Amino acid sequence: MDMQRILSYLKVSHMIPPLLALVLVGAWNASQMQSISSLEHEDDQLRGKIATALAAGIAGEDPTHPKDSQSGTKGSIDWKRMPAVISAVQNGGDKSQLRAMIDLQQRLKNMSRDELIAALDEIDALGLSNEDREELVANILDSLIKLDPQYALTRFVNEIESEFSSIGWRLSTAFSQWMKSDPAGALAWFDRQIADGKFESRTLDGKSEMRAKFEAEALQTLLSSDLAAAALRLQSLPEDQRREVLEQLSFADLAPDDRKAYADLVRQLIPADERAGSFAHIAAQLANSGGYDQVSSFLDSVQASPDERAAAAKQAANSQLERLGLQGDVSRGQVDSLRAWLDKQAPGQTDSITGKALAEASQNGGNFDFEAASQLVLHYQQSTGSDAVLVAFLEGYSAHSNLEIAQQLAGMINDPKLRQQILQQLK
Amino acid sequence: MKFSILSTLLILAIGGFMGLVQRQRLSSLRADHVQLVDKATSLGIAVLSAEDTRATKRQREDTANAARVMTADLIALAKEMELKQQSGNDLDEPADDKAMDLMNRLMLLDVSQLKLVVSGLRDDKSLTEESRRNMIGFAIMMLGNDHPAAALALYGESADLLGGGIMGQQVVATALAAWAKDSPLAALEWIRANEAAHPEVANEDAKRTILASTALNDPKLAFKMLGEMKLDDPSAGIGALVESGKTPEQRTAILAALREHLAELPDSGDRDDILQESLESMGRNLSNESFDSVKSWITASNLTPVESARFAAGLSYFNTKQDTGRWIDWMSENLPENDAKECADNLIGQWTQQDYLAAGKWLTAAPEGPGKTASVATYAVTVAEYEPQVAVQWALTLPEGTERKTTLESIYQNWPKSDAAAADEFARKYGVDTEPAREEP
Repeated sequence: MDMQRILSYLKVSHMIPPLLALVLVGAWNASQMQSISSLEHEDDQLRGKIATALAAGIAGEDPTHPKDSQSGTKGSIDWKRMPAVISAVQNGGDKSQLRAMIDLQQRLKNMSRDELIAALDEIDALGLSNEDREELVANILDSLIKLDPQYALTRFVNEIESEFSSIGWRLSTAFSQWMKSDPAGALAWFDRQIADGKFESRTLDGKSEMRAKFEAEALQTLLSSDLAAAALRLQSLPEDQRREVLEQLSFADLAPDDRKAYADLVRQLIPADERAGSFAHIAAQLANSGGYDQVSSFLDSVQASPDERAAAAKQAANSQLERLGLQGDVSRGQVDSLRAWLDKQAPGQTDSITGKALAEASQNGGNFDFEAASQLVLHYQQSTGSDAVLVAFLEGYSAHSNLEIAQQLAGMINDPKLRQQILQQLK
Repeated sequence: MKFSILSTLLILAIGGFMGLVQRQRLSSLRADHVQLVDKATSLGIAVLSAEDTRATKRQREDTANAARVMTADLIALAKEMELKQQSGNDLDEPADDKAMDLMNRLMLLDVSQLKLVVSGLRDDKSLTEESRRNMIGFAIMMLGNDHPAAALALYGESADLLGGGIMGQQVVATALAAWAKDSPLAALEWIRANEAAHPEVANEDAKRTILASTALNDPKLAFKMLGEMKLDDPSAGIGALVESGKTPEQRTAILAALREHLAELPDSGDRDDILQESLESMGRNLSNESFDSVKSWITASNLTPVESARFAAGLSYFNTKQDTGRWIDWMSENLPENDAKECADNLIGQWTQQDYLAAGKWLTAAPEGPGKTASVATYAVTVAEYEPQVAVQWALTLPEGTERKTTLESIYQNWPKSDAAAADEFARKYGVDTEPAREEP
């Protein structure tokens, strides 16, 4: 090692301690800065989550809203702000608004009758717009009705027929509840209100949607407890309103005996030209809740006539394929099952009902479109050798919305006369 | 050597001082953090510290466990719902409470936890396909607002189950709507990239969702995107864009962007079509807004008579409600005569069907004008089916001429079939042509 290299080495060795010190304090500081930055970021996120949870001042315990000593619920609800939250949720609001809405529902459920009434009084005193007030009242009513349906009906009787409001519909639930516990009292109240004009129709056709709804709630109870009274109530209504009342009942919720009683009322009191429609309505409800078997059981239990069966079968087919189409797709296996059922319920009409139901199902905006439906229709035309399914399909409204494909399909009808007729319709 | 020692000491002193200051700051932050964690925990928020993740495997496991518990709870609820459905019963109150509680908890999960939940639900074959579809869709939707890209990626992984049914469409729409509020072009790019793989959701509906969300923050860009999208149904696209404006302020922003967009269109036919579609949609979309508020907006927006007519053409009784009479008066005063008649005709027809007494009362006091003339004719024709004599009285208040003649003819056509003799008597008395008008071939 020459002298120059030794000197140079000594100079470098002098630099090592300060360099080491620099690395040491640098690493220490850098590590702390990273921790600070990480904690700051994390705290920001936490603050955001907490703010979200405390949104609208009703989720969680907000210091500005101390615990209510009576109900044990969290602070008071800022009713003035709630319409905006509800509206935001209805328009696809964010998480904080959704949480606020859920929290409101949970708190309303835990409130006592008196607390709910106090909330209604508070809302009435706020001077809100009609729409905002109704929105809040509707939310509170759902809870109040469970505790005191009679009070709810009495307090809001003048709003039953309010246009553009859901209050009447909610009160029909209160009436239904009252009917279950005290039918005589509930009916006496209802008849008094009818006499006082509270259910007076404002529409030109003389129908009151709310009257029909309340009558249906009365029938729902009377069918099992007092069939004669049920028939009398229905008979007292104008003929053109009876079917609508019966169709407001939830048929799927009726006990088997009540279903028979319902069918008897249809046969006795619904005008002849509307009866098939009533059976179709029943079939749609049963098909949706329990499939084809439930429809069959009902038709058997009431010894349905061929016409009643055919009307029910058509509607059940439409409802089922429409539901499947909305869920995503309609498979050949599902249509095969339907057709096997139709063979029993509406012999000779399987093809036409299938074609019409496929046409209806293809126009509901789901994934099952006209083209997909066409493939199935052509399959059944070929496998049965009958044009009936294709003709019924092309007679549906959806053919006119898909004119080009429909005209091509019409060209595949084997019977020249029918082909010409359908092509003419599709011009 | 002396220099080396001095500089080392200096570095240690300065660096040490800085380190101590940082240490104090860190201590204070940690104290704040503990308080925040306590607060978050008391609110049921799952907290996983990034500082801790490096070191604590246990907390990672806690996160996964929380997701597993949530998955198990969702599956239990789904099974309960399946049983209720089979027995034809609605959810009872405790189950309803459970559903709300689960929704609340789902909203607090982070992306990694929601991914675990979705994966757990997918793997559970004890549930029906419908239940799995609904629960997975529901879980992904919770993610859609804050992490739309992650939600759409999860959709892709479960597309076989969610498919193009309502749930799948809803999941994608929620995520795209949230994404497009901040990054419309990225959201649109997702559609383009998925058109081939997922045509069931990456379609025109999805594009309309993006237009509606984009218009909330940047209506000008929304109109530009509308032009570039080349939709099969441009009217529906315009409708989605315009209808996103729910408040007067949002409408004002959309109107300004619309005018700017129209000024750039070379074809006058296109301009008229888009103007008409847009303003009609705006009128149609009014909800829970008083006549006075909307009238102020129209004035402040300087709508021309043609623009006002387009806007009014979208109105219906279902958004004019108790102000219907005031709207018809406004139409008479502010719209070109034919437009006023046409718009009033629509409104009074619906009003008469829904509340004929209120409509008749307004008509009695209404000032003369094109709106009233059209209203009288429509009112008379509408009530004729139920109250033909009242209809005749109203028709006779019209001045002699074509309108009165056609109104009387329509009353005859609508006369209740059960009272044909009275109808014929009426026709004879007023010289009404009893042959129904034939359509030209």
